[in-house]
Amino acid sequence: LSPFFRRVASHVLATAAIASTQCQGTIGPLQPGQTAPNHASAPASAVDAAVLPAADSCRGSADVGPAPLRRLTRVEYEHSITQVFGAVGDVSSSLAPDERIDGVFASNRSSSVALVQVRQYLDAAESIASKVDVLALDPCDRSASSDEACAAQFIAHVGRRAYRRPLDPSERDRYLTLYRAELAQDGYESALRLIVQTLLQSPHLLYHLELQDPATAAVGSLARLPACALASRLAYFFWSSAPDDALLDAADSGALDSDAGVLAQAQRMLADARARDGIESFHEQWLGLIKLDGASRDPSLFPEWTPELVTALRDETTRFSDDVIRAQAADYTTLLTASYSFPSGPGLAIRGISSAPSDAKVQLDPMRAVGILTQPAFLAAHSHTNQTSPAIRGRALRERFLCQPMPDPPPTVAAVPPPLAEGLTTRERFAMHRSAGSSCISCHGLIDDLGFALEHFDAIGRYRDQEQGKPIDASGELTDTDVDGPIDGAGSLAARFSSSAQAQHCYATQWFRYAVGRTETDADRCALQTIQNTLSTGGSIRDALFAITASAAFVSAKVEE
Amino acid sequence: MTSAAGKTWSRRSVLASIGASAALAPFIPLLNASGQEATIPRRLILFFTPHGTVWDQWRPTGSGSNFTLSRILAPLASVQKKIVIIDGLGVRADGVGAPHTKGPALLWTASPLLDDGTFARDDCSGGCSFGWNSGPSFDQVLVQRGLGGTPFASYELGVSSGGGAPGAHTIYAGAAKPIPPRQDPVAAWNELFADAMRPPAEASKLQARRKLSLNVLDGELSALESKVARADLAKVQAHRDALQQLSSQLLQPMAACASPTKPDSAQRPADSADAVPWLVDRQIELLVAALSCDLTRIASLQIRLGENDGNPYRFLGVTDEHHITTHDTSPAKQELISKIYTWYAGRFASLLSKLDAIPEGTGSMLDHTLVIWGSELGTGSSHDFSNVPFVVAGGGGFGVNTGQYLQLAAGSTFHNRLIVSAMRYMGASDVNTFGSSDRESGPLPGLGV
Repeated sequence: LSPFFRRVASHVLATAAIASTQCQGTIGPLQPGQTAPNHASAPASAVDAAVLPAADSCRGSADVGPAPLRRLTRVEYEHSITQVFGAVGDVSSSLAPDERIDGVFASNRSSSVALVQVRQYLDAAESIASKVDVLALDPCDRSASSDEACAAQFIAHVGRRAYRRPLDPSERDRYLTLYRAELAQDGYESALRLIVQTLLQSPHLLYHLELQDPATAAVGSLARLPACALASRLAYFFWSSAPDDALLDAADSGALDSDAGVLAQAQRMLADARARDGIESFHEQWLGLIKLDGASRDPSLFPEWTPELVTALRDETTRFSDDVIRAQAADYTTLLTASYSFPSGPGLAIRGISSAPSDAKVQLDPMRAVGILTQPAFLAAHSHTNQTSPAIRGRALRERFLCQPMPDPPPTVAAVPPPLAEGLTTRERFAMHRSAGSSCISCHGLIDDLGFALEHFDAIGRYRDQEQGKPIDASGELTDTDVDGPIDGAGSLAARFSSSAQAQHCYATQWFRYAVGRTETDADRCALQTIQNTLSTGGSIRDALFAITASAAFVSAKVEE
Repeated sequence: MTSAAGKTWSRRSVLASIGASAALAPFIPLLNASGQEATIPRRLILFFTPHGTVWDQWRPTGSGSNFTLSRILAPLASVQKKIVIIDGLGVRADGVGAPHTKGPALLWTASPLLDDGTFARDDCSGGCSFGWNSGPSFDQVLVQRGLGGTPFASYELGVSSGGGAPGAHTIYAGAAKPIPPRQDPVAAWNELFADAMRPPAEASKLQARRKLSLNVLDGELSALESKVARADLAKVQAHRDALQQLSSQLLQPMAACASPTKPDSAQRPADSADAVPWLVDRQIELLVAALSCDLTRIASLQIRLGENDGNPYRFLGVTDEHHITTHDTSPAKQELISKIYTWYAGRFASLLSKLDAIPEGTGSMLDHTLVIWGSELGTGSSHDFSNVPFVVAGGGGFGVNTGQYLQLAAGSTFHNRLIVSAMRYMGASDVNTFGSSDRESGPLPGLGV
């Protein structure tokens, strides 16, 4: 642990007021000053007890933002199915799209499910269940036990993974009844398959259910989540997937009742290969790469644009961010400025190189490769079909990197780029466009210069020195930030962002939104500041992730009626 | 129909008796005057295309029943006597949200977006926050009144539509209850026709398994109702309701029917923009088949989305994005987007022609099906709501005054009137107003229903 994280840990651990929160246990309210119980079974913690808390600025803020019931996103569903039932191929593309809160992060928390969607779940469940090797899911020696005993064990074990907590007797009985009926009809294996098919549609699998018991905690009070609900939050945060058996065991043993125990699991999970899925899911959404789903490019200008190229570019961004966060355990500056990446296949040509060992980290020209900002997938996602868009890119930079929402153009104004014109660069066309309507300056003055800084990269993210035979002008002025000043190209923009507390705080805030599936509220302010400060005082990104999983907004929720 | 033994058969049983081998054949309209139930059903189709139109290319010349189609609507020539072109009908653009965002919801709900912060923006563009729509679309009100038929009370299809925000949705079961349109023709084909084509033994086994499974799920949701926080109860109940509807849909015998050929996804162009024509044509085939097999009586097809549609139409020579191109009012660009709207009209005409090719009663299925084509606003370049292009088709067998160019005084009539007419057409004869934006009452004068 970095010295920095020790400071953060001391803050967040001070809020560690713990009651028994095992899956099957009771829930207690947070009591200031309460200390963590010493579970004998808790894994050894990497947190040094000597640095555990003194003062905590968040103590006493007995509030966190709301936690409405959410349905799994398509990505979460896909990964959960793989986690619980084994890899069965593409299972989520047949589902209706997710809600997108503020247009960035998927979070199905608002609308209720429609008839057509429960049909989609049924179709997906039948298709998946037909492919699952049910006898291998929870092996049972049927020569030593009765079939019914094996089925009961199957329900308990596989059900626990699907429910993400142990089933109570009445819940198990439902599946046992189903098992018996199908056994009589079609035999043992078919009965197990029907159990799987039903678990795949269970509300306990499809929703993030964080049931608290109002009998043991006062309505309106802040209570630590039941341990299994906390395990799920950890799993969906780090893996975008359901908990594994080790995490559920930790929850059952009480290990997650202490913040040290949570941190130990968080560290284990981030070190696990599945953490790549979580990092991918976050960056795909934060950077708006989902805009590349089905994105089209004018084939007369960009014949290279194929589904294979898009996949390669997105994969490159995932590998890069995963390497920064996990392999390098690096900080925000590295994410913004590193000049290496992981181009592959058709993505090599976009980086201007002809070949590279497969899966290799490639050192690129530092004048042309500047961290996440010059990832071709990001640049392409914020372009038009036939040209770049300084406005769209600038807006993405303001909103996604600086957390400064920009207004849509007024209804009477055409939100369109100037048309392509022979002999004119994008910048020249935008300049004419702007001078044509000075009312545009109020917004475009804020966004276009940021976009111009990325003009060395075309609509598929490829470096260029010239456009229309003229040299690229990527200069401009960064304003309305904490690092204002002249910029020229991606490198100087990245340098300013990486030294900007505002940008660092924003990146932490985006992770927070991703973690809790909602936008922050005033009630989250204290917890969020602690997380933000992790990055802006030199901590690594992984330290910030651990700060999130230790925050009150993550480990607790308000007890609702 | 009277069999050799003199027994009267219902349409369902006739279709069921055809069996799987006939169902594997390409779609052949099987229904005709001799194969019907005593009462011909009333049907409704809602058809959506984005970004209004180009008025001077859309507007017919002439008036009343004596009119000449313009360039954009020219593809409708073969069914000119069965359409009503409505000019001058506005949409009251109530509520929060930018024009392309709220327009899709307003179109069939005539109610504004919720102002609940689900999709909050700190900058207050188009309102500080907006949510899903605040009310049901009128087709779903008809469904809730039991006018939708079975097994599918309604059937929503789409092409590259129905994303995760209001600008991509037109159909709502209620406040914050968007109904996502089915995007994949193969999945829709499976849903509509696959079950009916299974051998009886396999079908009954499948049904038994589904019933066992659905019983468990109902038990789980029922138990959850008493455990979740009060604020979350509606979601659990809605899920349980949906499963119960699904259960009754799945567990009733499915009529076998001459299905269209199963769409071959290998034929689908890889590029999403280039795939649009293939998708639209497949969805239209499925829509017509679902209605002609009487699997549903209320349906919708949403092509693309109201939110700034970035789709190019390269197969028409439009390499730039649709939304962007609408905002360039130069003649050259308006000519380009006129090609898009003409293509939409061609697809609409193909839907109408297919319906018209199926004999029913003394006319065709089109004569008994009310089809309404609308958009989320009137003109892409100005975001104008005061005149939105509507074309109504069919329903002549039930009193719609088709074959006319219906010109309304600009700015005085709103589309709530058209919705009331459509609801009355479908049997909701007591309806006088619809949607929270309605400030008048009664049906649309001149439409005949």
